[in-house]
Amino acid sequence: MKCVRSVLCICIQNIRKWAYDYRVWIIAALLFFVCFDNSASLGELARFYGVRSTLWYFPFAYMSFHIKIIVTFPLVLLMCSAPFADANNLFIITRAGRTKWICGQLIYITLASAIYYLFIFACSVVTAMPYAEFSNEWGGLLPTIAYNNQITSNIVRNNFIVVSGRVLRCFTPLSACWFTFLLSWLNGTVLGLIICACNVAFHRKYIGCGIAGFLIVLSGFFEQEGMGWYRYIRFSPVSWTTLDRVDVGGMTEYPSFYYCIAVYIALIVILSAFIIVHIRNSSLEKEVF
Amino acid sequence: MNYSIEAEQVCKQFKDNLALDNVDLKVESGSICGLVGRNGSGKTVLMKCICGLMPLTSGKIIVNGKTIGRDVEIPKSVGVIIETPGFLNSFSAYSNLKFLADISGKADKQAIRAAIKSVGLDPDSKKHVGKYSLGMRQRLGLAQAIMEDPELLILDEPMNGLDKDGVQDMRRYLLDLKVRGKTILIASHSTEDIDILCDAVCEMDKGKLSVIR
Repeated sequence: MKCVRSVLCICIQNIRKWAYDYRVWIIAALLFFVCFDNSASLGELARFYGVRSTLWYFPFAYMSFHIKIIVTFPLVLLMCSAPFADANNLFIITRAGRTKWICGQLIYITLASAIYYLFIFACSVVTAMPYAEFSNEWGGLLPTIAYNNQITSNIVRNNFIVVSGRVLRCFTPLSACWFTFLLSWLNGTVLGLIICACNVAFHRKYIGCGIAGFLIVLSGFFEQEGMGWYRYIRFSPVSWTTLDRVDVGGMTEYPSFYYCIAVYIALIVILSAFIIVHIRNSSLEKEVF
Repeated sequence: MNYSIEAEQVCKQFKDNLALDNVDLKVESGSICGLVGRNGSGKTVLMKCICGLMPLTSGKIIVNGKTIGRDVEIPKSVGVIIETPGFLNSFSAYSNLKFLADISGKADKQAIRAAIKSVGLDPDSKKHVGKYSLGMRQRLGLAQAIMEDPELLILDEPMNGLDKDGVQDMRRYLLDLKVRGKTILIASHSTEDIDILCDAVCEMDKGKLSVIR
């Protein structure tokens, strides 16, 4: 019990640092702006079609690969200094020991990823409020957009909203929001762990960020229509953060939902084990000081 | 004779640089041992190895009877100041120490307040640590090192940034800790500090340690 308490305290210590970390404020402003812009576009489309928008467009908020890249890169910025070692951590390590310290950092990566996507969800709901109807249904606008994706791009300038009809058919709004959040959260955790693993293995912070950035950009290529790389999406975890790239009920060639969850969990377990073993046996000098 | 720290044939190699070269060190329990030497001589590396922050290339270090890296990851009951103390700038002194005390679970509110008071700071002050002078941060660093009442203190340049009165207070406080049976390993460039405080003095030079007194 005392051990769990120590690990949680270490994790919370990192969250406390957000208050004066300019990166966090920049990221929050950027994500809010992206959601605000999306909601404004939806509002414009709603006016054009004479229907109300919905509060639940979070599952489609980053379905366009342009937005997916814009939304995922700030996560790399948030995680780039993993395992978040600074002079304050010297005091923590000498109290908790290496193993508890790194476990605290791993839990922090998981928690930060969850908060990150919950923030996007909250922004998407708040910014949609002026244009939306308060209902637990998809409403009239999203189905209209789903069947006119090409046309809507001509109605709203810089419109990056993509709506999948398959998602509308297979999920209720709340279940779509939950599953999108779950996949995004796991993906964010995996990206954070990849950055952390590279940072502790190579002692060079740019390598972890470079690999995570490469995975994000690669997902953009895999999702590009017309390039014929769709079949490789099963090797691109970043692509699985939206439900249009995940198969439900064997209707598409995309990886199944269970495949995605299993791969995410396997990656989290393997990367966490690697990081813990590495930190236990290596010098903390380069990470901490 | 009881020893709080026993280092035997300790070597630490960084690529081409042998930072610690067959270091043997014994620090008697309840004494103050001074570590002197030029910048880059290996004092801080030795202290980090004793704290378990760096694995040794060879040799072994025993702290309070436990071998670092084999019996324990990090020595138990040790207070540390190495280099500039790092605190959360947007929180008060008390909050900073409370966060650390929550992790160890070894110091209650009274102990934290007493530690802050004992180094001449105000535990009730709401002033953020970011607004502290270097000397005040150094004092707070000592407070965090002593708040859990550790048996051993490892202090790397604890007088850094302190004014004349601050140095006097710190010396008095360290001697008081010694009277209370604490063991202290202190690195300093000040010969005056070393002369006044230390029972034993060792010098580091290019990774080699020699006993002066």
